[in-house]
Amino acid sequence: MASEHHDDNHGIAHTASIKVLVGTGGTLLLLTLVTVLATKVDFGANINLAVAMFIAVVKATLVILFFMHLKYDKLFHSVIFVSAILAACLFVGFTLMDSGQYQETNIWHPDAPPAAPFGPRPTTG
Amino acid sequence: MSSEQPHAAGHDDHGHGHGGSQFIQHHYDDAQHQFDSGKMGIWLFLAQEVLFFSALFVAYIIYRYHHPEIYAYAHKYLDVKFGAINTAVLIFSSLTAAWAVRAAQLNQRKLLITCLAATILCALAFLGIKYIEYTHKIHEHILFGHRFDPCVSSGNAPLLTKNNECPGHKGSVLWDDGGQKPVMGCFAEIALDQNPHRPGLQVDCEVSETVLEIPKDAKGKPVTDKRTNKWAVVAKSSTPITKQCPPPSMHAEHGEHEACWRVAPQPAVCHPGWFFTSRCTGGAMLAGAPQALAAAKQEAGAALTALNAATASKDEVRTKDAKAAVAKADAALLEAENLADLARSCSAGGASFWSSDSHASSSDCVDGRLARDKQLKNVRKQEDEKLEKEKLAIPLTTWTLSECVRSETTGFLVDHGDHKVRPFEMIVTPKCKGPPAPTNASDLFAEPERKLKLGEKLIDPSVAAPDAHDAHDQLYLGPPPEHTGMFFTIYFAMTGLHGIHVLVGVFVFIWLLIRAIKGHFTPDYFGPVDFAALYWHIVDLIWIFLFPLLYLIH
Repeated sequence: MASEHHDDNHGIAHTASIKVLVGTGGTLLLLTLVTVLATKVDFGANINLAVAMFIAVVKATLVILFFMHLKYDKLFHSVIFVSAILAACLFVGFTLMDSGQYQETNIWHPDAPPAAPFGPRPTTG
Repeated sequence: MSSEQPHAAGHDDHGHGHGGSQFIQHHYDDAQHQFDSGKMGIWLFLAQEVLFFSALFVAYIIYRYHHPEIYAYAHKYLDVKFGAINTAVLIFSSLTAAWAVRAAQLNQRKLLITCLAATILCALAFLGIKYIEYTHKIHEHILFGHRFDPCVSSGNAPLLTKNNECPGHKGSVLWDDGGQKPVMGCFAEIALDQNPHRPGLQVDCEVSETVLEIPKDAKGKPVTDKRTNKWAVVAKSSTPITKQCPPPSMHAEHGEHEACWRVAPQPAVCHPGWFFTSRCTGGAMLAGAPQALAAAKQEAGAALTALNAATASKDEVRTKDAKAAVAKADAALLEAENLADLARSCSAGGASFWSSDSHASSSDCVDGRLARDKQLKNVRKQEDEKLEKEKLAIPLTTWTLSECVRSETTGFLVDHGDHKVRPFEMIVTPKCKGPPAPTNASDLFAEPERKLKLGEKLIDPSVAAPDAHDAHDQLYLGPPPEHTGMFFTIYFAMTGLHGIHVLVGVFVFIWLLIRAIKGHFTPDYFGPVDFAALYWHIVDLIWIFLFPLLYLIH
């Protein structure tokens, strides 16, 4: 969408138009308000989290595309950044997928300490 | 406007044909080449930043998956208002940073300076709000790991604290782990079956000792309140007791020391020289009454013996005197009985008592109801006798060692630190502040008003189902779940690292501002502004995720 209107390529890089900048900033502020208000509504814990994350992703996309000019930037920069995002998604995704494997009792509890398989027998008296 | 012209000397020497800024390094072909190299560098750095923070997000996910109850509970300690303001501030600063790039590209120097300055101010505002948040948390012991030891629950209900030293709270609760009961503390009517990290009530009290006077009419009889049929009592003087007693274990109970007060939980154990009065609402204490009763009994007995002796001797004068003495002693005895009964139940809650009577059996104190019944009977008796024989005598007795146990209520004890004589018409009047006020409901960001009712029994959050709505309510009103400090470990790690990024950004932008004022940036040399703005956007971007993940947990 490199229209001449706000993508006047004068100089060595793309110059963002005021309209795009203010529009992006305004949308971001609006979405922040939406996020805050969305938590007031009870959709259930998981849906609420999904909504909040969805809005956060939309906001992040806006920041990356317009504030960070990635939309008008070299494809290679997008490749660098998106691969980092993909790697992060991989970490997060595997962490979420793996959650079934977490041990239930990996936190020591003073009332129910795990039985020691080795070591001296407890002395009585 | 700029003293430094784009075509500086020196650069032409290299013969690269740089058509512009003096800051184009000679090892680049041209301005475009330098800009593109820098830009790729900053994008690689940003990719690294994403990976760097993703590690923290992974830690967040693992803990949140494992302990949803901690997140549901602990995020209530964070103020959504501050988080939302900071989000808006960062977004606005991102806008000014992006605008600064545009201004630099278009050679709008004044606008560039304005935008950079606005960005710096926003960054400082962000850090200022962070400072307020962190200070509050440090003050309230809402810290990471084992340092998490807050004074109030996330629902603003006051909590028992481990170390009993919350700033701003004069009184809180000491817990006896062995006996699973509080050693000292004021709970009002709350159930006392919690442990140190479970709720109780902390109170901020002003305790004073008030000397009372029982007004007498023209005939020297005590004035009776018509409604209550009790003696009308007025306060004569009041002395504040400012010192709070140290924990019993550290408290010298028999030595001479400054007078102090303490909140006595149930069961209260009173020692010689302690005044006890019931509840946080106040009460009255009449000390010395049992001693007076014992003395009156003794006197009446002696008078009766004298009368018997006089009757035996058949001396009419002596008998007449002895009869008069017996009548007098009987009147004194009745008065002492009334006084003793009044002392047992003179407070509104009917829960005041005294210690230090070596003759008093513990049952005098233990069974409050019995004492009240007895007092009621006595009131009727007083009516029958029309209170005519009432006369006031202030018994002066010395304190003797005894122990008095009461199981009915929580109250206040005043340890005078000496074994001196106290007049009986002395009361202890505590004035206590209630639990913290709920947050303002008209506030857009405020949590819905949920006030912990005193005495409300709380569901143990570690066993509560986090899905049930009621359980959710209970969850964050009550005591923190086990290992809640973990949330704040994550919170401080994430927001702390983010804050460091903001701080670095401040320095970078100050450097840019100085350079902008010097007029270094031109349409063919604005790389530093662009790269710093990109860094700043990534900082904003991370906060966009941190805000809902930490502040807006449902």
